[in-house]
Amino acid sequence: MLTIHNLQVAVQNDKQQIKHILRGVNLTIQPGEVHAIMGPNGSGKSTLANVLAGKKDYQVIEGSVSLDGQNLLLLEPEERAAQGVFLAFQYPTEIAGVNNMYFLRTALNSLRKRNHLPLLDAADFLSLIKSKLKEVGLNETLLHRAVNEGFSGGEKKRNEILQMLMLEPNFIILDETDSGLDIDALQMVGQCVNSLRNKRRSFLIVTHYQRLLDYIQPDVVHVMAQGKIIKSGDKSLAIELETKGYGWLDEKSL
Amino acid sequence: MTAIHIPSWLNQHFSNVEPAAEPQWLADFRKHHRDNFLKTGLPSRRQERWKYTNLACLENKKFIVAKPFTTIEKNWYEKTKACRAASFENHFVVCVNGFYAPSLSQLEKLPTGIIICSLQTAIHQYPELVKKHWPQQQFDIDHYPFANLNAAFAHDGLFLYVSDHCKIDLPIHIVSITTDHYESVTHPHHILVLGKFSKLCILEEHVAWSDRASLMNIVTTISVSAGADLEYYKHQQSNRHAICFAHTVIEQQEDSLVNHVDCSAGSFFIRDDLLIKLNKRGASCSTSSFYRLYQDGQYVDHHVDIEHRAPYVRSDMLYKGIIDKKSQAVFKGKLYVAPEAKKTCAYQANHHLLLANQAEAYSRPELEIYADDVQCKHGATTGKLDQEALFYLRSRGIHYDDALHILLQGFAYDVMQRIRHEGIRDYIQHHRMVE
Repeated sequence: MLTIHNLQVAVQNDKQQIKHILRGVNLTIQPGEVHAIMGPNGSGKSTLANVLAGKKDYQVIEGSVSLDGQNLLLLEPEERAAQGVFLAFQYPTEIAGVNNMYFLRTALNSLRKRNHLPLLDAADFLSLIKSKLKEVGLNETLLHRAVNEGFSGGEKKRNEILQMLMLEPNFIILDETDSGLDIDALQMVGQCVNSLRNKRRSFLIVTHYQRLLDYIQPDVVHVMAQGKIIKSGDKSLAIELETKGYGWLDEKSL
Repeated sequence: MTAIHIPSWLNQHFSNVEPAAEPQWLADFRKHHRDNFLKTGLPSRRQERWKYTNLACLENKKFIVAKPFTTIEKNWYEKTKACRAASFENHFVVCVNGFYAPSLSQLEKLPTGIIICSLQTAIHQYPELVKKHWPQQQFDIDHYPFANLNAAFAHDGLFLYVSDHCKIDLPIHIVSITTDHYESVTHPHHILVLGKFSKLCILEEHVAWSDRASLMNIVTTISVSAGADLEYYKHQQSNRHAICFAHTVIEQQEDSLVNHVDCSAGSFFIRDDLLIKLNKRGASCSTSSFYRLYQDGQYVDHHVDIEHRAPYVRSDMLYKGIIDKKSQAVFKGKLYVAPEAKKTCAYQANHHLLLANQAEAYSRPELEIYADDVQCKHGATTGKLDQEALFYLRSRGIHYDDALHILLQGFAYDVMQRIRHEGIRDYIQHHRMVE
């Protein structure tokens, strides 16, 4: 279970000015649940995703985050990953000179080592990843290239989903994974998420569009604006937002 | 006019020189450079090429000229054997303190058509060959003062001659060992000759068995005939007391190919001058380096000059360094394109990764082009570690130390890929080029 209580986060810009981004986020996600977060640009959705994964650029001013009873904010990014946190990035980084398959195998074996599982050798790993490649619709040649380097936008997103399938994390955050994807890719993301859904695993899906939620039925939909969750509801809220926009919420809640 | 500066130990060396029994042309060559050096002394930082080089490491030393070893200590056999690359088949050549050591070398599988011997032996046995491939021009004193010094003192080195059409399939692993109980200076001069359409692959390594400060002042002259193919890899292992000056001149003829990769990690002081002359049509060279500095006070300085002197020649330069702690890296690369060198293709890149606030990198790419219709590109970057990439790896469960290691390896990757011989590439990578 993930519990976020009164989370307030700021970021310092190049001019040393401090800007508050999250202004008291409260959120509880039970095991097995899928939550979607929607909201206008600049409302703090991606910041929330990155803070949960452990990115250093942010200052947590107040509040707490716990995952299965562990204080997540005290953990290094790799320790969070070991706890089961996974963030599919909005803009996956290109890493020159680092082979994609080598990276994935190192990541998987790092997690297996922490969980006292036997490590996979290159042959075992290859047969495992080949089946997953088909699911995400990636060409095998991309395994032998540098991580995300020269990948198209769609390929980068598929590579994120591939990592999600390989690492089988327990708490999955998708940060606008659907942006820039065509219908086929969107459907693939939906299928992959659905295939991982079970009683223990939870999802936090950050998105601008309701169409991803046609494939992934969320249990709860939240609306975030100006660093706060201003409204929560079931999936009908997403449909309502699609037709009405965010304007009607602002008037009421701010 | 500034005062001529020559450290006292070096002055002593000059006054102790005894005339050697050698051909007149060689004695003249020696005298010319000796006089040159005595006239100018050590370079000063006011000279452009020596601007960043701090030669304080040569002061207050009691360097003694290394003598040819008369006896081979028992444990040398075992110790040299341990230096031989075991992961790939090779011919094994050992030099001790700048002198070729045939009894420690292992050349039983060497095919005919190749000569490997000491320079002294070659001067007596193949005088015409040596004279023909001796540097045709004198070393410029302003550019190469240490090569002048070498010419004044050099007595021995390696002579390696590959005859026309001879293709040496296995790499030659040359291990150059410094071992002495006192602070020693060596001035070896190696000569490498590749005949027409011959082929050779070399891995040259420098190893120190002594904790004493040592000064290695090497000159290597390489002549690559028409259609010949040379792979020349160099690897310097860490030694906190070793000072190394190297000057390498490569002369290339029609359609010859040279692939040179130099790797160094943790050396105390390296000044490496490389001059490649693409003399004839279609000659092509690729030269690269990866250097890693991770201790206070380390210094690595590459000066690379490539002269394009004929039509349709090609060069590709890629130098990359990772600089940590309070250390310094210098790169100066110059592409010179002569008026007759039409259709030249020349690329030059230098990238530095700084890991500490006190780490310094100086980069000076230069182009000097006198021909029309050429393709020349150059670029240099200096940056810090990509924090986004580091976070990306860690967010997937990879420990900070491993993630850092992966990124540094990734930085070195394209230089390492230029080592075409897979066995040598693995061998160098296993020697922890990236800690």
